Amino acid sequence: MSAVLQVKGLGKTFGALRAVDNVSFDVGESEIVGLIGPNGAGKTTAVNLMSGALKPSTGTVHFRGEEVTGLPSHRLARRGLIRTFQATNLYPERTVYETVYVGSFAARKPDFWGSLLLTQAYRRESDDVRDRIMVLLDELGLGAIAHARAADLPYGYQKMLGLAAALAGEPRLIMLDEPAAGLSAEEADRISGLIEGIRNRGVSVLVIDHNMRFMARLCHRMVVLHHGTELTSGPTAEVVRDPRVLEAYLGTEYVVA
Amino acid sequence: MSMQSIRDGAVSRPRSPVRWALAAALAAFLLVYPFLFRGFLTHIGTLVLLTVIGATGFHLILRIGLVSLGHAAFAGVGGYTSVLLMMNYGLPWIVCFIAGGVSAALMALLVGPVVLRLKGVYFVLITFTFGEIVRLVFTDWQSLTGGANGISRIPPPWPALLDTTNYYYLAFVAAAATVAFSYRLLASDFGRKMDAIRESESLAEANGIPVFAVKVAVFAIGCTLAGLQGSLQAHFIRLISPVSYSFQESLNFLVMNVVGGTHSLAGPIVGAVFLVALPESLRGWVEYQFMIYGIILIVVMATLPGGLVELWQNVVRRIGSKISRGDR
Repeated sequence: MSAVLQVKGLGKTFGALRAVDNVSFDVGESEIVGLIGPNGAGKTTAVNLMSGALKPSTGTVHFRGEEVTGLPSHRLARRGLIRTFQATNLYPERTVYETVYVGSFAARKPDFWGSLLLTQAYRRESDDVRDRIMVLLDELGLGAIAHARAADLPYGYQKMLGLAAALAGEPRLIMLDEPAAGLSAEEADRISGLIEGIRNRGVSVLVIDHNMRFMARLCHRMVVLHHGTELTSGPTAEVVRDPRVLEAYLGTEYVVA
Repeated sequence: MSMQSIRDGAVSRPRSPVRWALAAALAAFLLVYPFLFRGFLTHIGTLVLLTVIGATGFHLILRIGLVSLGHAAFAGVGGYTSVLLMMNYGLPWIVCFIAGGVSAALMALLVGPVVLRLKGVYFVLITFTFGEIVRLVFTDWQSLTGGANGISRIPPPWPALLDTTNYYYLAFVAAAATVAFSYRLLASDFGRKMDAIRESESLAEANGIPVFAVKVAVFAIGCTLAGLQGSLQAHFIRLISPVSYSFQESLNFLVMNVVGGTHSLAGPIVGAVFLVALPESLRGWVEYQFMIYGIILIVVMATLPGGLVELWQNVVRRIGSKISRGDR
């Protein structure tokens, strides 16, 4: 199995604070890898470093065999590395459809003049795009609310919309920052099912969460961060029984059978 | 609503025939305007049309979430460039006009990559500062710009355009082209990128949009329009001086957009009518001008966040709902 994403010695310091220190791991083709750790472990900082939102202080990131360390987010997105956000981050005044339409820009370069002058070729292409987006929206249960404003949606739908916009960009690797945070158990199950569906289409997935129950069921492998450093990593079944992991999580309700 | 109609409406909402009829009526009115209102009112009409060009440029920059208080400086760069090329080198007007737009664009491409690193109030402050620097250059570079007195007896583009009515039509064509271009730009995929950037830069980046490059491009387009207005206006009024490109003029562009409406291209057009025609018609009230502006701004912002365009939309919606209630 070849690695889609290879992270080596990744580190980030903010002044004297080492938010992420010497983190290394791979994500393989069609693999779901979990990045877990308690609050403040550096999970989101790690995502920001890998997705280009922040520049790493040390280490390298390779994506599909090419070094992409420090490339800006939009270039990574166009290469197929797309992330979602932990807090709700949507275009509040855009509709569901418009949001996903913008998401598709990661996968295609719309013809500027064609779009400006509404040429026949552009109209044909945008009919195709519209059909593909409606299929995607229906799959995610957003088809019936395609015209609702993002800001007006209930929280669960907003989470789903963030996922839809990322998927419209046809990622090869998707990084999901706390996709189940704040969702009910049923909604979280639904997200779980969707993530498995994404993987089955050949997309690699890196999931960030601190909900052990959710992650243990979903992930093939796990990387555990603690105080910015890598505590351990390996197949999920081993990681969840690791005494160091239990120690780091002590006091929470995560115990996995 | 049926599923099919949702799908059909998803890409482009159907344009109502009423809207086209209104646009056609407006165009027809503007075409016969000089015959209905001769003399001074044609002069004001021309000024409004010219102002629409710059105000639309300001609007485009506003649509990526930025307020540029240096906008008038770019009109000044275009105006001085055009006038100096014509008066010192005798170049044909069309060359000077294009050079007016190009010079403003080049200035924007030079300054943009620096100032666009700032956001919000910092962007406002640095563009304000830039505008003042440019105004000081216009004032102090006396050998070239004529200093505070400026340059007078500027020739018209062609002798025939000494006639205000003829100039009105030149302004009409330029304003119509500007509005048509901006309308399509905002409705195109590029416009969707602009909307995305205004509403969430971080998500736009994650969606593969080169946020910074789009901002620089929009800033350059907006400033080009200011430069073109500067050129057209200089050859119309036939006098330019640093005062024409001061901070107040930049502020006027902002007020036009806020009063007219910041969410729609109709905003700067309505605002330009309001802010150019009103003070010109109330010449006797010049000393109260900014007080009146202030009151209008407060009232509009407090009651109509979408500007006068929103007032119009509310009226249309009420009439529409009355009609549909009558149908039942």
